[in-house]
Amino acid sequence: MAREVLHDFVLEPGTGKALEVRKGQIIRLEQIEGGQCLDFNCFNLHDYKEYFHTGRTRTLHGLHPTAGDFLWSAPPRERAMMFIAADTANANDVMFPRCSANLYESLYGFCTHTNCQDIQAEAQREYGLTPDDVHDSFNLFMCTGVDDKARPYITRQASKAGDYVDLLALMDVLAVPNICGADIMRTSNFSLKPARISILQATEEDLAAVPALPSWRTQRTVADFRQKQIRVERELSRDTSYVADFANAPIQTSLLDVPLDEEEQALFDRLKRSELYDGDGAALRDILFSWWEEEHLAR
Amino acid sequence: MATRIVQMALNQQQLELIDRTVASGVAADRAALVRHALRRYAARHLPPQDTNVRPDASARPNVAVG
Ligand SMILES: [Zn+2]
Repeated sequence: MAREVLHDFVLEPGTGKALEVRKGQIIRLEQIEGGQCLDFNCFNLHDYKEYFHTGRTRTLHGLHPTAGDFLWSAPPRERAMMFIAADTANANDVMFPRCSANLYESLYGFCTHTNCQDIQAEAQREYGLTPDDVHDSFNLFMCTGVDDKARPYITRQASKAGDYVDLLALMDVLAVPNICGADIMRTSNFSLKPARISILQATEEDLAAVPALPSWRTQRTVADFRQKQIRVERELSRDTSYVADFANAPIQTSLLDVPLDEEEQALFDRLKRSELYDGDGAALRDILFSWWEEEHLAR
Repeated sequence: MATRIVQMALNQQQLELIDRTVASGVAADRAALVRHALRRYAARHLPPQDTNVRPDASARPNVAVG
């Protein structure tokens, strides 16, 4: 079944665009020449304080999310915002932050240089968002890794004309793609190129291909907040009527006696991490919860 | 049988998880759950050596006679 094309345009180097993508629509980000990195941010269209979070996405899907993975919102929301329905280049990143003006000044001496932070800020200004509302992005067509000293690196990419990533909206979002401004780095193979952006109506098959996700009580909404009002003053001042109300606090500890027979003692003495724990109680607690993790958290 | 008592400090959240796991039927009580975990964890992580403990030893009644 063909998808209806709702919107289709060329995103020029140095620019970005804020686009309303409704639930059940797909935004396609496509290479025209190949080799161009795009940064992508998104916000809940009806509550911009819910936005895409690299941290949760990275934790669930690793450093290089691809087809079949989700884009998640930050805690305390933690909902799947978009589904990666297709990815022909398989070179995405959620490790590096957006590039910024200061990067190009501090390392290269530019007063003014194209950069993802400022391009994102300028694009989303169309919806009244400030530069502080830009968040770390889903980096599309960006080849990254971690070296043997645990340092992240960026290298050249091999995406070709026609390569694309399809992101299916699972809620109404404001999607903000931009052409990454890095022309003096390997990120986009040392050049800036346009990309094609389309918004497509997902078909029944597209929607059926999204794995069902459970919903959790901990996917909070503003209704759950004790503080619902967004601040408008920049100056922070103390609420003198504030009374702390942390969940499960105070944390209370009690003691559990666990009798071990000789056989269990022998097992325990071989297993216990004496290099970490002075006492047997802490070592046995480690074994208990390590077992629990293995038993219940499939990875 | 030379029994050794190990005293574990647990907070209310850790106890909640333990009690939910006990309630699922894995073990009769908190201490039994810890012993079950120890045996299962040992079966998975210790190289077979001088012990003939089987992975499901604690699941069977009256096996651990010292
Ligand atoms: Zn960039």
